[in-house]
Amino acid sequence: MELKIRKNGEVYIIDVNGEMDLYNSYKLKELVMKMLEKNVQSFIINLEQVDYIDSSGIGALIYICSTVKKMNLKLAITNIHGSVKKVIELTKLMGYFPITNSIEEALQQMEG
Amino acid sequence: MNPIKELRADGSDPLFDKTNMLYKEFPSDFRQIRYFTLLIVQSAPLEIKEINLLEQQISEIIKNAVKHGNDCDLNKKVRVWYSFSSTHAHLIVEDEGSGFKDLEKWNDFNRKRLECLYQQDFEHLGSYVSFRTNKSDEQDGGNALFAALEYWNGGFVYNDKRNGVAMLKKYPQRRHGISIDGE
Amino acid sequence: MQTALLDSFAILPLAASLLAQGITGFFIFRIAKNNPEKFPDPIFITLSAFFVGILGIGSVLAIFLPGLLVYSIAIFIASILLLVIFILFNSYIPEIVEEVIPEVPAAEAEVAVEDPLIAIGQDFLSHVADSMAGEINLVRLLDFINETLMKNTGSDGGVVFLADDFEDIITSKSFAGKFPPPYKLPADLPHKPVRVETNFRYAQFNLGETVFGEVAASGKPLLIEDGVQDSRVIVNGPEDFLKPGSYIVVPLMVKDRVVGVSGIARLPTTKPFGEEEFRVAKAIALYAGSAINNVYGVQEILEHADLEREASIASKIQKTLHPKRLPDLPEVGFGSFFNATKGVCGDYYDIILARRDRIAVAIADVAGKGIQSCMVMIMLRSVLHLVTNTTKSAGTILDWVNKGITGKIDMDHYATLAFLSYCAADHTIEYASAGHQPLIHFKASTGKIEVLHQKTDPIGVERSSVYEDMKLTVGQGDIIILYTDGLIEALNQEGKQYGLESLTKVVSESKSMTAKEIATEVKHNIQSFVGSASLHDDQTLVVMKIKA
Repeated sequence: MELKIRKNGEVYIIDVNGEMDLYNSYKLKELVMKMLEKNVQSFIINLEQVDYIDSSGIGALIYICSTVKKMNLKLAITNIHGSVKKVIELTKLMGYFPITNSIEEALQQMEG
Repeated sequence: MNPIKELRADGSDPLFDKTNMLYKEFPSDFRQIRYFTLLIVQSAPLEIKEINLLEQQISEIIKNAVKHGNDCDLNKKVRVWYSFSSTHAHLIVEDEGSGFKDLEKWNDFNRKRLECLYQQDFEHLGSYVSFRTNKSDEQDGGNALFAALEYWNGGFVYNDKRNGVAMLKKYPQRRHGISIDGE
Repeated sequence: MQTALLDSFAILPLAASLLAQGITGFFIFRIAKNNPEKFPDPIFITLSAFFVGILGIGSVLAIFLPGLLVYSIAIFIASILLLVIFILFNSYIPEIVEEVIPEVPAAEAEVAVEDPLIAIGQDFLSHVADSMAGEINLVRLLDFINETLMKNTGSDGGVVFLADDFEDIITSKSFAGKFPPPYKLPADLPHKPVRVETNFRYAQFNLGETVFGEVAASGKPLLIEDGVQDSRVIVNGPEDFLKPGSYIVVPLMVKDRVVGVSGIARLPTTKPFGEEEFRVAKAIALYAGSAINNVYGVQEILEHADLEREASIASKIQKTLHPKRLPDLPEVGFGSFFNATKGVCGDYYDIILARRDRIAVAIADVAGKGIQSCMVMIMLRSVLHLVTNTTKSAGTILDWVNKGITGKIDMDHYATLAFLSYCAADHTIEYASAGHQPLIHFKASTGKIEVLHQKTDPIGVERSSVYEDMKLTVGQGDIIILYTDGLIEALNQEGKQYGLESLTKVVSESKSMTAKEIATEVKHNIQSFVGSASLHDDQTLVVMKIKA
């Protein structure tokens, strides 16, 4: 799994590439924690290139979500598809996670 | 609304019938969980793999057996019976542990979780998205069984000792478009 | 006066005229009946009734007033003449009119309105071909459908939803123009045009939910002339751009399957949709449903062909990676049995004479199926052939193979691998295994079978996995067997596994045969065991017999 960061205005977009499984999901958690230490205020986690996620990956997203909520920052998870979307639906977390269908929508949401 | 699904233990459930199933056993090596899963799922027809959803769901059960059942002890085995066709996936996974002790606690937790969802109470839902026992660590998502109960639509049942679980998934045939039932 | 009636000269004309009237009336009636288009019934019948009536009255009056007989005859002749003229004139009317105004009769007028729809139909067919040139692009086709619908109905906005292959949901795939959303927007969505449009553009609905889901479920098109009054349309807010206008929602269907839903809208400031636009939309929806179905059909054929081709390519690659001929050397003989399962491409074996003093034998079982496992197999073979050419031990070679594969590729890359290196000069074998099935050693001197097992990681699990050599000495007549799990896990009709015991038994019983013959014995034995039960994994067996 690879993690790349880019910026759009004040919003940081993390592009996740590969599989989020029990062996590597901690990497995303660690990266977001580091960014929080550096006072990043708005995140978009782009899962367009992720085609596999398991309970550890979901756990990492849950952890990131609750931390961001507590700190009152902005987060969006975008471009979920295929089995990733199915797993989130099976765990009934579609309403819990701040999901948008596109990065476009997420950026609009953060500006508004 | 669907009846609330819960985990149950019933060793006499027909899903534990092992006739005509393939069999493999593995040492409880945490690092090889995905490899073992692949060895099982490679026999499944392409149509039911739903890209890799089937593989992912099976890996969760094997992970539970390896990590929580057998404590990642290389000397303990995980035994898997499996059978696939274009319309079904049937698995039985057994470990050598002392069983899922917190099964009732899990059901209570899940009930509260489903209530929050039903009430659209996302604030309180946060406390019920991850089930943890004193054995859980940071890597555990605590949400695998929530998905499993939904996924294995033909049944998901533990044996009496709760160190083995049998599951069945039934697949609809793929079709283009929705047929009109006629209103 | 009555005696005048009996005058023979008065009776004859009277009788004649009555007869003539009757016949005329009859014929007029018949002509009118047979040519309804030339004789506008009501008028003609009225006219003819009038004339006959006049004649009739005249004739009766003539009984009392003989003078009137002349008039009645005159009227009678006049009516006949009029009738003749009328018939002739009527047949000329159409020709005269046509020269002056090339007018089309009513029936042809309907075809003229339908012509544009025929042209649209042809356009659709050619566009389906376009959208399949190069790649199947359903979205481009859907954009075209949306565009066409909007253009031909004078719409302000249009949307096309597609039904999901597995679940009962429809997803928005094409969106254009201004479309006041007729469905309930999420409560937390700000009522700004851009936000609302984005939400609509990526919207997804269950069957039966919202007007779109309702049409998908029922397969019945909807015309909503006034969205504000209609209970099916939600008014999301007081803002102008949210005020509903008129809508048409049509299902895109093939036979009785709904493959999608199309919606068009007119703003409240535009004249509402009417029956004409509804008709056009329904017709276009028919073409669209057909076009989408065509694309699906082709996609399925291609997918199936793709899978078949992938399986056959995998098989071909697998065959090329296997040794074409087994070497037959004076000091050692080889035999093998290989049975591939369609689409699997899992097992690999090779005999490598890279070093002058050593012979290497490798056997592997790649996890997974198809082209992916083929790629791993190719990588494995390449690395093996490279490193076998060194003086490194079996364990080190496995270590290099493992490091060459693990962490390098972003996909499933696991394989079990067993490798042995035989030195004929001192009859020693160096053996290392990466999670593979044990090596079977039949010792000719004792007649016993030894099973050499190593508990090691398969290739691909971790870069730091450790592999160690085992050394063994062999004598003349000894047999070494390497095999894959597909062989011993093969099931018969009763679900029983072939098992290691069966294999070792056959080997013991064939101890005096050549390596090739031993391989054949095992092949026959396992084939009769399995019978007609189907196999789900590749089976491989490599036999090595020490001749001297």
